[in-house]
Amino acid sequence: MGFEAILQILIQGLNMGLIYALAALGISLIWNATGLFNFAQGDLLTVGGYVMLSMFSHWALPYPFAFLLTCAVMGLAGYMLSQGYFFPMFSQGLHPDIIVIGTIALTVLVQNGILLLWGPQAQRFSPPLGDSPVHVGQVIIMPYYLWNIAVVVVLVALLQVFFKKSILGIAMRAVAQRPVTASLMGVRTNHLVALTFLLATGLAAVGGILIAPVIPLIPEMGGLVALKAFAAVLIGGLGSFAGALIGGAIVGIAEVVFATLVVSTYKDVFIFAILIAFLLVRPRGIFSAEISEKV
Amino acid sequence: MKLYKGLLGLSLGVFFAALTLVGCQSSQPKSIKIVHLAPLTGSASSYGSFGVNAAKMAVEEINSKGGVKLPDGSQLKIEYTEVDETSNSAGAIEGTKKAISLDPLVILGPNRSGGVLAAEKLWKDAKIPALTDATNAQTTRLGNPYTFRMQISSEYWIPLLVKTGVEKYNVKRPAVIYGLNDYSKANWVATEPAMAKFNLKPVIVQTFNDNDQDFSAQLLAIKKSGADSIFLYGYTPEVGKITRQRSELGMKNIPVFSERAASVPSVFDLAGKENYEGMVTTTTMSQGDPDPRIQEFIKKYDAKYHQAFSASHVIHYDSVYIVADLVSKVGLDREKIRQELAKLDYQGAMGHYVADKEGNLVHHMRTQVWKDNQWVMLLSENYPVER
Repeated sequence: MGFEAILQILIQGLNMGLIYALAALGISLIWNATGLFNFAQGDLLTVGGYVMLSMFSHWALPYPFAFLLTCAVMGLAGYMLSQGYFFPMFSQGLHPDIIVIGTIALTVLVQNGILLLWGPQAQRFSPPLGDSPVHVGQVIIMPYYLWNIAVVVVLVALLQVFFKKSILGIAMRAVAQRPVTASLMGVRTNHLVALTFLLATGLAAVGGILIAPVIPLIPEMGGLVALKAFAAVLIGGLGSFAGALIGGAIVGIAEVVFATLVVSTYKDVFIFAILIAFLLVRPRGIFSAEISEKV
Repeated sequence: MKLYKGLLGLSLGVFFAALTLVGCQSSQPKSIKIVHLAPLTGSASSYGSFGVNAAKMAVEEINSKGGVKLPDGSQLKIEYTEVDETSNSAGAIEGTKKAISLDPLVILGPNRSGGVLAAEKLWKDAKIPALTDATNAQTTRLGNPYTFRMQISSEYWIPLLVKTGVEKYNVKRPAVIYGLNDYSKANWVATEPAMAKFNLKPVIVQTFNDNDQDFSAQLLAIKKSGADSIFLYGYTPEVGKITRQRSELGMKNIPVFSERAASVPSVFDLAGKENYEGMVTTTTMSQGDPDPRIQEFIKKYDAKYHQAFSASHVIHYDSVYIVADLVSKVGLDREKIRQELAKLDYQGAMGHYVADKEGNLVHHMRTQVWKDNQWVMLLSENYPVER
């Protein structure tokens, strides 16, 4: 296999991996803040894609405006979801393992809501840089691959600055690391947990916006992405910012490499075999999720 | 006292007589119950919604004329209920159980071969005829006299697809890619002998799983193999995504030959019309067919739903009319309906339905190509009806 073929495989894998990484990041954020695995994260990603579809394709808003508005709307939806759905469960003192069932119920609600609002047909909107492939030697690159990579890189940089430099970001990290201490220091933990939901859902929306040109939107798409995102979270290191990103990239690239070099039929088996191996040998993932590293 | 006892006896007599009368009335059906097992949620929900639309159109047409006239002169309307079978085997079993609990005269569906194979014993035990929508040859070879197929078995239309490739496109180095489900596997099984008849052998065979999102590994392997054509078998979502990705990987010049799932309108949305140009598919009814009955149906469907449609939808329209026709002949006796289906000879909107010994009702098939935003018919064949 030549260099160009390898490069092509890596690009294909990285493109999917970045989408998994965005979903994984949202899962990690919520886990850090609440100790909860949100199985609906993939479905929130799908909703983000559909909201963008409405704003960009149906209402013909300019792409950048529709992009930002979608993130804002979804962030707000995430905030309201925390207030109206999760906080009542938290306030009842339910164990997070039980609330996980609530997140699974949420996936069913969201998928059927999408079905009602947008219908069952697969839908897609045009990517911002067009649909014509770019040839670099023998390597073929879709412009939206580059767009997706650029958006994720910028987003990650902004998130790093936000968590390291801003008061709000530092407070969110404090709540994730030492919730009781943060509370005693006067941090409104509930408010910050709600803001974490806002941020995680906004990130999911970005994932949905970026994925729609790659995979046409269908109501149950999020569940399929979420499965890989959970694998990415656990391989990368649960709760780790870098782990979510690297885990996503590993899952995306590994599945394409395995399918190309070994057999496509068992690529999912391969990914989940890696996951099982990590759980047995290095259960805290690549980045071991040191508490100081938590987002 | 005697008077009271007499009155009590009379009252009880009247009471039980009334009960008996009510009982008799309730055992007399007030409608012709048809339950449609369709995928209303899940990955095939788009397909399901089209099929339900087509069936409802037939029900509305029949009921608007007062319903179906039974042999005894009475007239009954059709009571149509759709039940979600989610297009997977577990969903088909659950859906069939629910359908049976509704006590229908006939079941339409399930949609996919895996669903039919999983649930057929249920309608067999309940003795309810089912007009199924699957192409795996085995679905009508299980000794179930209540299973009928409104499609053609893959054993028949894959040879026509291969023939089209050879005769119309000079295919010499075919690649095959198929999904790991009962429907697609049956197509693959039918492909090797069909190709062998033309001294062809696939240069590469690739597989994928249902719900896969990325097919670049398989497509790059096909590209590397130097294949001059791709025979693609899968459900609509995967066919659409593979067709799109093929273009993205610079393989638009390699023609794709696919089965009926590729002629469903939702594939256009998934693949993008610009990537669909040149797609060859099998079908039981082509929009490019000049037959006036077919063109009339297309106009009628479009006027009502403003949607494109495929042959996979018109069979649900015809299924309702077939049931109505049989009820008008033999009434509401399920066993008689089954016997009539086993010797069916009916002209529907899609074509001529004739039953063979296995319960296959459709025996004509076409291949078509998507060219300049419309379907153009390529080859047409009928296979013999063995009774």
